[in-house]
Amino acid sequence: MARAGLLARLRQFMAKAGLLEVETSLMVAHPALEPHIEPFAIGPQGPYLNSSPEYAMKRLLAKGSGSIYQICKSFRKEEQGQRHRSEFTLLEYYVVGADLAGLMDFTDQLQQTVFNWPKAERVAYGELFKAHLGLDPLSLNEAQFLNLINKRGESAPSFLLGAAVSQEDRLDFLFSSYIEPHLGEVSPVFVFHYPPFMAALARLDPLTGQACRFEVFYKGLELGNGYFELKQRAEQRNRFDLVNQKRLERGDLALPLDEPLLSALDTLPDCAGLAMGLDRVLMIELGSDDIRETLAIND
Amino acid sequence: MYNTNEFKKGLRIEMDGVPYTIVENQFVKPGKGQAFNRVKIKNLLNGNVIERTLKSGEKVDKADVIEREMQYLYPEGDKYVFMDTGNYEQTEMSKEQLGEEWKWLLEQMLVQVIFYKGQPITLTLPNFVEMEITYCEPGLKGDTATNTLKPATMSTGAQVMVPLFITQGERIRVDTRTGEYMERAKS
Repeated sequence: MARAGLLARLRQFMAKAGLLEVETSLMVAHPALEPHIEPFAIGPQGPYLNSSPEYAMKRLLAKGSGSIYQICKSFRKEEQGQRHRSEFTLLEYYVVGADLAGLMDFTDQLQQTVFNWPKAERVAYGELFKAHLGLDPLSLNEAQFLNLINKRGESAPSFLLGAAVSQEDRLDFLFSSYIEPHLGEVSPVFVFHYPPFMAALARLDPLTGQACRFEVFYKGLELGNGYFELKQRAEQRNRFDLVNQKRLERGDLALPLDEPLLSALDTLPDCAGLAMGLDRVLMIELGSDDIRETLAIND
Repeated sequence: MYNTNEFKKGLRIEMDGVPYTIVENQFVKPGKGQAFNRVKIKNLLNGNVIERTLKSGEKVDKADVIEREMQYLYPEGDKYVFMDTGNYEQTEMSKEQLGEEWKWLLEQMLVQVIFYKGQPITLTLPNFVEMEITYCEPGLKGDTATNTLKPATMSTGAQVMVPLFITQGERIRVDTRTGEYMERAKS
């Protein structure tokens, strides 16, 4: 019931805002290329169940679709817990002509209208690290990392020690252990300006060099991730190559590059897009701390 | 070996040569980041609970731990003698190994004895036991309304706080996990 109501309100909001609902394949030849997201492969060489509809939707945008949204199932292997299910419902939308600030405005409007949430606060990623942990995420070194965890009477997990560990993994650990649980107690928080090495498919701010990316947090839950979309084909190809390199170093399989997506970037309009986990939105609506409680049937 | 995605409460694992049982398992994953499992684990040898963070997908050893249903026979000096109800094999456990559990051991009681690498290390008692009060101050007849408690000594030597209306020689039901009085034993 809560789910049906949420979907109905969402579609109403999107129609009014002039976004077109689209549907792309759940079974895809090219899964999202991410260092830490594992797609389900149906056969030994693919196809894959999509872990996000982003690539296909960008190809639609490049063909001139205008602003679009999709509500679909997405699948991520080995994600199972109180806040994770391997199969989950994603809302993904792209607003043509919007930049990062424009996307934040649109998202805030949507949250207030459809979810009935209070107005969001906005805070930079670096500011959060300074406020909560007293350090600069860009210059964090291993000694500081260790010191910070030890000071809390905890011991640093061994997989995050050593020269081969990426800055990104350490920052993610600190963020999800010590910052995220406190985020959005009163109102939703938009965390923006991620370090450049956490940009994925976002463009970099030409002035600050930071990623034009923001994430949505509310009630200690990570809910959404948005980008001012990168359009440079060569840069995107480099980033994909780096991801595959990381995956191989770790002993995971490299994933095929989505060439049709890379070609489409040439004609991608300026746009910004966001993906949001609707099951978690429902967790908040229902006051639940277990994602399975948002499903009518869960076996 | 167990993969972290098989982790659940009660699973017995071995880390750094120590057997543990999982008390709590939390899967954490930033949307785009490395997933990890934050676990609370209880040392089966000394009962201490510690917290550990493991990379998701990491493998840990299974603890060589088995559980056998045994009957408690009798004390022998500082030792307690148990018998396997299947093959009648006898095993001794020391008072130290039993920790606080000796307080609730009644002869003929069935318990689960946990063996690590073939040696008994600890046991699990039934959640509730019924035992006789061998000593307590006289009861106050009719005093069933107040919440005041008084100490009572059990046939095993355990001390339990009981309501004032309970008298010496009565049998009561005790929760072995908390050591608390539950009710008068029925029958």
